[in-house]
Amino acid sequence: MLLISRLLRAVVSLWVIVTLVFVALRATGDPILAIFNPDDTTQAALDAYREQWGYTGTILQQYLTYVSNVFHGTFGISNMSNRDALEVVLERLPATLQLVGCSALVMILVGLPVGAFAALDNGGRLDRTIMSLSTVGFALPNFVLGLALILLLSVNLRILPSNGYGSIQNLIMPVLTIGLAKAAIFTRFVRSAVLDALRLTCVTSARARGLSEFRIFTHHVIPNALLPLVTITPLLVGSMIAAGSVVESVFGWPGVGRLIVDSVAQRDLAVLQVIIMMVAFLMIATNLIVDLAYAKLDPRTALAHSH
Amino acid sequence: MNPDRFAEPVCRVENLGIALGGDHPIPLVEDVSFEITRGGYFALVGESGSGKSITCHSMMRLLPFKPEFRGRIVIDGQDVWSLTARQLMQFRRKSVGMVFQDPLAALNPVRTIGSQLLETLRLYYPSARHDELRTRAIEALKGVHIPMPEQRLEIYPHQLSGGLNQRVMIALAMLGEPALLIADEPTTALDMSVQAEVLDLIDEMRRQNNLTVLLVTHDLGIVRDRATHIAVMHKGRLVEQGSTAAVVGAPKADYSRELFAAANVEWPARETSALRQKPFALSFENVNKTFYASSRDRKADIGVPAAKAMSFAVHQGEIVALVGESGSGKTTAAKMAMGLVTPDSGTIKLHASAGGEKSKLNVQMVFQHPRDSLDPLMKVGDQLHEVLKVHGWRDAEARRSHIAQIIQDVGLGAHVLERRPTFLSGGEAQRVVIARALLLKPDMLIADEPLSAVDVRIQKHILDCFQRLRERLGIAILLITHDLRVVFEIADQVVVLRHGEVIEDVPVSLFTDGKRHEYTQMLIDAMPGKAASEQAHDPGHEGAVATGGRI
Repeated sequence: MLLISRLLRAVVSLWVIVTLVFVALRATGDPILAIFNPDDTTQAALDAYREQWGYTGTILQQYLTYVSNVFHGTFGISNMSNRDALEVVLERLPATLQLVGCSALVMILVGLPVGAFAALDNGGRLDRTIMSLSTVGFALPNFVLGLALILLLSVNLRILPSNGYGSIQNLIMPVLTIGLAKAAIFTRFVRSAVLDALRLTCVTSARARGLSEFRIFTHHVIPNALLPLVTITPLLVGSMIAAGSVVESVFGWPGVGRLIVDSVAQRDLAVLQVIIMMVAFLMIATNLIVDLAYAKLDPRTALAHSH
Repeated sequence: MNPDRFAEPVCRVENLGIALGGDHPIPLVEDVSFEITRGGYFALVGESGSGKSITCHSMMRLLPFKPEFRGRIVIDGQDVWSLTARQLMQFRRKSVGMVFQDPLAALNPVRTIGSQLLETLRLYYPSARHDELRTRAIEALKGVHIPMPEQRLEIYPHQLSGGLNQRVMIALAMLGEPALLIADEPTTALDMSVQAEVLDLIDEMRRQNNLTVLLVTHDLGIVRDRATHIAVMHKGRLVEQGSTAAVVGAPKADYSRELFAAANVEWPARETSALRQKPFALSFENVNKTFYASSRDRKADIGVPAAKAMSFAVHQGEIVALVGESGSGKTTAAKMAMGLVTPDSGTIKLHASAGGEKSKLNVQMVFQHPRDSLDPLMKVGDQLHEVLKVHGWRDAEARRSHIAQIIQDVGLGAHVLERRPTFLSGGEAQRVVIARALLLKPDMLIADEPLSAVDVRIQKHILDCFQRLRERLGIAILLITHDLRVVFEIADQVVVLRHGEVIEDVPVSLFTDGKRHEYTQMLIDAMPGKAASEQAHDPGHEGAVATGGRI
């Protein structure tokens, strides 16, 4: 029941996004004039192009054509490469998923233990050190860390290639750049979530029953601290796609992020449209997964929805 | 008087001093000494902030901060503050059990009751099989009279009522068969009728297991009925201790005298019929309101009724008490009277004043938590000025004199105007809220549990304040409360609610005539301290040795 209602909601969200993309692209002016310069294109050519891409008729007709195209998977042709826009984006997707996936892993593997240690040492030297580093970490623009890594590992130490795609060596630096930057933020969330959980009466009550500190941490603190983290993690992962647009340019990583930059520069609307929808789709899908995970982790919400 | 004078003490606290560490330590508890002998029922009484909770948490070293500790605490033969971490864990497992104020918070909300019981049982039977532990867990739940214990293992704390959760908590605390049970305000978060059941359960545990109980409470009623010994704390010090009969009968310290006097329940015999002749101020006629959790529930008509054909009236200048347990619909009634909630059907009428110059009576509300209903960053004076400014008082001088008058009416000094709410005591804050409600010269006040956040002594001040206001200004007051003592103290008419239904609407003088609805009777019987006021109470003889402050 929960699943069905959430799925329905996801479909509605998706439809809203598709419509917003339509409005945004039409609202910025005649899409044909955005592609062609009317001064050196004949009126006949423009009309032919309009006919071909469904830019004729009333705005409602155009909208219907557009929606039906979208649901048939026809997103238009990229004017950069003259290939199907969907294909252009899809071939970049694996690189981005690889980057974002590995970065998310780094963020969680670094952020969880570091944040938890900071919370356990609340106000101590370790906590203050970690918090200062975290402040530096998220105050630093993404590309600065990337450039510093290139300078250190490629130029000076000559361990890793500064640029390129395909091997593990190529992956390391962009993943560290994004992963560590997000880990700096994630650490703070983990720290405050663990601190909140440590202050719960049920933790005091577990201590009063004589449970070991380790068991209290693993069985009482962590399950409660996870709840707010489950909500924030997908937001951070989503923001990695945005961070990717800069970092991918720095490292010559052929992902979607760089494609965004390129297609904005080239006014490649068909490709942009596909990227926007894909990112939206990914975000909706992750949110759906988070909602379901939350219902599993917190019995109080599960009850609220199943009755 | 005390045949067990030489009995072995289970718990001995010597010159306990606890301060919040730092460059300038802040003393929280100073020079506290007491002893509890095996089988004793020792009550530690005091207002919030008196240091009683800190004292009992320090007995298990559960303080949420690193304190500066002085003195000695010996429980079950162990010097608690010199134990190593490992010894401390064993001590917590075997020697002491603890029950907390809010059972729902003290149980882990994301884990089942069963898993928390099993986890604790595992400490005592490390090599037992899972089904053995399960059987023991079921027995533990049976021991605290939880119906259908097998099913309860699989469910989460939020699916149980507060009373049942507190029973689970007691079962958890008793698993290690401790010598001492520390109960920190175990009934404060529970409904009146459940309070007595939980206290009875603790009594039963004490009898069956030769258990020693340390009860920490602000509720003197509980103490009088059950404890063998009482210690009164005030501002971090023990001001008085001794056997219940001695302390209740003839309190020595000024503070405890005041405390006990404030908590005394007197059966009311006020003549209130004259007030009933006055014109209506507020009337409810056949008001219905049902809350639904979701639109699906609304369609299926599965809802929580907050008002079912609710009818009652408040006359001008009358104090009507709306009494009921949580979920009885009393707060919804208040909100409907204020127009904050719309009823499904029925009429709620605010009647015109007698002179007829206004079409409706002016109503103001006093909320339950005074601190939450004041802006913490704004000076009290500014907050009061703000109310008047909004209502068109342009002249600052007029505002100032009006505020000064009202502040005096509620019994506060002018100095509070310069303070921010965080620097007010609970009682002062509540009186500021009352003053704010009075600024616009209301004809009627609606007060939603105005006394639940303040201590007995301050309750008395606020009740006096209400009384004076009614006499001087002729204000009608609708007082929402779960505390019958407040009703007896001040109300003219009592309306008892249950599940949104009015089951009693009588003058207070008839309230205790013994002819009431069985639910009302149950509420009266469950009222702590009732026994003491009806007949001289004979306290148990077994128990603690009074040490008179120092050892």
